[in-house]
Amino acid sequence: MRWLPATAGFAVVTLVLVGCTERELLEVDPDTAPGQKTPTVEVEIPIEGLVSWRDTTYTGYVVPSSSSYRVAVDSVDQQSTLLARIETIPDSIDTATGTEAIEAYANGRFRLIVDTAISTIPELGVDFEVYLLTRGYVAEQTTWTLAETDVPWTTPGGDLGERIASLTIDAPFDSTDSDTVFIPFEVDTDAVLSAWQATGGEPGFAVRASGSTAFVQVRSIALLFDAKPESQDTLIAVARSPAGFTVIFSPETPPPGQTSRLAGLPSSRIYLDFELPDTWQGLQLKGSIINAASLVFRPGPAAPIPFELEFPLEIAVYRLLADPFVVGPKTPIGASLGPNVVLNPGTITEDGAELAMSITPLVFAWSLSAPDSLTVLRVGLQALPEGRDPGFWRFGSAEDAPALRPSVRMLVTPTVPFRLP
Amino acid sequence: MLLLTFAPALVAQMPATGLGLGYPVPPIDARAAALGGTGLGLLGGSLSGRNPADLRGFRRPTLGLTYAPESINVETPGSSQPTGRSRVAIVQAAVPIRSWTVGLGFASGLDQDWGVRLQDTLRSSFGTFPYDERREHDGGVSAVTLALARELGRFSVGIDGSLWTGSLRQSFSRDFEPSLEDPNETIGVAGGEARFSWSGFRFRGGAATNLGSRIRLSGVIGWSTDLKATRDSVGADDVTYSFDMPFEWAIGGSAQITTGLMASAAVGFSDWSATDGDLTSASASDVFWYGLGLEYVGFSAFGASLPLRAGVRRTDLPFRLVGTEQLVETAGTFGIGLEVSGGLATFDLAVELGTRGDFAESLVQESFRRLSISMALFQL
Repeated sequence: MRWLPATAGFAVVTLVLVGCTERELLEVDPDTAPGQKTPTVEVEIPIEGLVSWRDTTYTGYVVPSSSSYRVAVDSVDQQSTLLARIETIPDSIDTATGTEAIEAYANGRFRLIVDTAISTIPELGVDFEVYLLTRGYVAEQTTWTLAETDVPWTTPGGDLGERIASLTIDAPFDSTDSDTVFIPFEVDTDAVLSAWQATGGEPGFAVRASGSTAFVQVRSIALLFDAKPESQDTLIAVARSPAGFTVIFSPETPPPGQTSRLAGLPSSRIYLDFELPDTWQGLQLKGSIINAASLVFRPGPAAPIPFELEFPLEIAVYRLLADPFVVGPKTPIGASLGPNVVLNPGTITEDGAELAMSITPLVFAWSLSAPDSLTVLRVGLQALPEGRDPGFWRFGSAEDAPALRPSVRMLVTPTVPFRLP
Repeated sequence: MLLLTFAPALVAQMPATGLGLGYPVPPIDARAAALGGTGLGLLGGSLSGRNPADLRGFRRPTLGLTYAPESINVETPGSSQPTGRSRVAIVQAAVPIRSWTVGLGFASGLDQDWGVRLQDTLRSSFGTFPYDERREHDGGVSAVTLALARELGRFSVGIDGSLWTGSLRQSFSRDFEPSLEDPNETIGVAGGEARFSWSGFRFRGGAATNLGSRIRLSGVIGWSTDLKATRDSVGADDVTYSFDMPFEWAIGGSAQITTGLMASAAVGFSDWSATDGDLTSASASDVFWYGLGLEYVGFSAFGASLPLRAGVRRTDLPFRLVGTEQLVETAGTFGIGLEVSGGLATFDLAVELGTRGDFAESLVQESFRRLSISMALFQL
């Protein structure tokens, strides 16, 4: 009992001390609340308000021969042809008794694996036809009109010779049965393959799909044939994959001109650089906290058929590590600057639609950098997947009308002006 | 930016420590606090820092510490928000050497601690981002004091010199939550802070006398150099502020009315209005203060006397919002003391219940409950 008063006193003191715990006051109005304050302001700077701005579209990062676009089309709006070579026709073959020379080739046929998920087989069916080419081509350079750079086809679409294989597929195509199509040779297999064996597959062959609205995505193509060894009567099955497998199509992808372009085939990227002003309309940018920053692009009209964008794309933005106007299309790219943005062809055409790409880390670093240490900001934009199909989207560039030109949008929190009363 | 109706307050809640240079903390111990905040000429000695001449009230080397937390309700029409502050009011040592006494003390001068929190929403082309904002001031001005007192017959005289010291850290932070439209969309935080160091000097002279054995009177005057604040935040330009500090005087005393009953009274003045010209976002006015107290020694516990104390006090506060009326603080004070270990140590406790400011006139109003706890050790 002697300690009761002391214990009670201690409890009282403890309770009072707990009641004195410092707690923040809740305020409701940022303007009247005490303390140093600074607003977070959204600003949008047109490129005319920047110290400098340059943009360009570089094309050719993915070309038909390096893309997965292998579509045989025969429609009013577009035609295309697949080109390939079989460079490895063997002149000998391993048998149970050893390697023997091949006496003859027989039963030639092309095996096409069709992506039935996106292919369209018209009601009247489609005719697959394989022609010999009479002129060689360079896969990375050929187009509907050119066999290679500065060397035109005699006939746009490829110089076709003898038809060597064909097949008619009736619609509907039963993809549940098989995605594989075999196009048998309708000429002497031995004559064709012997010629290819002698020339290394040159000048190659063309695969066409004939039939209104035919749209056939070919995932792979192979040549199957039987080889007869010199000393045996048995035939040995052989399969060969093509080289120089590519597609040419008409109309050809138009050059970007003055507009900015993303995607397409050959694929296009937008490279640009710009310099921000230290202040904008009285607001200090340099040295302020940049909460967010975006490059804003205004979409132009949809590309003409057949280059209108059909499927959504993701747009990636990254730092460029060199001056793209000096180094060119091969300017090395750096880290991503922000999350990819989905470019949805269904919504990009809506009124007020825009493509806003985050460049916050870049502008944040600029804001806090020492004077003259980071003046020119360089950015690249790329579509993902790149070179999926010829579809592309156009955006306003510095050469376009003011309403279409890009801009830089930022959320800026100026430095708090800490002062004493 | 638009507002979310989240916070309970309808108007700004300005704490008294956010006004001007802060809230002046009286450098008094719990005994003085319980006696109406007097602390001048108290019979029996006081470890308050009001007057260096009062150090002669101790005949033995003494060390005392006073801790004074405060529970506060910041009042606005229709709402009241609790908060609190805590501070070491004073640490005082006194060493008598023959007719001299040397004192060394540390006392709170101006309390500048406060913090507010806002919740709002930023609507922008980037999205709608609720955010949480904090504005804080952390720090204050303190005085490190070296004092010298001497007894001259019936009189004691003392002088002291104080170094104004301390710092103030101002901080601001705005933390944005993810966008309401897309939880994956985030924007960076905003914030910053600055630190200021206080410096300056104060000099005081005081005298005290005993009229017989029942009455003691005490008076002090003081003058300060300008209080300078130097911004020393890393990366910031050096900025120095200068504030005129007040000339001040105070007188007080105590009288033994009966064997067990003592009365005390004190009054003081500080010409803070001279600081007004140095302020841009606040105003300053002269401060007049007084206090009255009674101490009754008639009870005991555990064999030691248990003095009971009560008092009242009133003081103007020097700083106010521009265009508003000066704040006045009033309080009723109560306390007890306890001497333990045969006089080796004393404990004093004071509770002050009061208000400061009137929202209708000064836009600042607080009710407070301050607890002062003093512990003093004496050399036997």
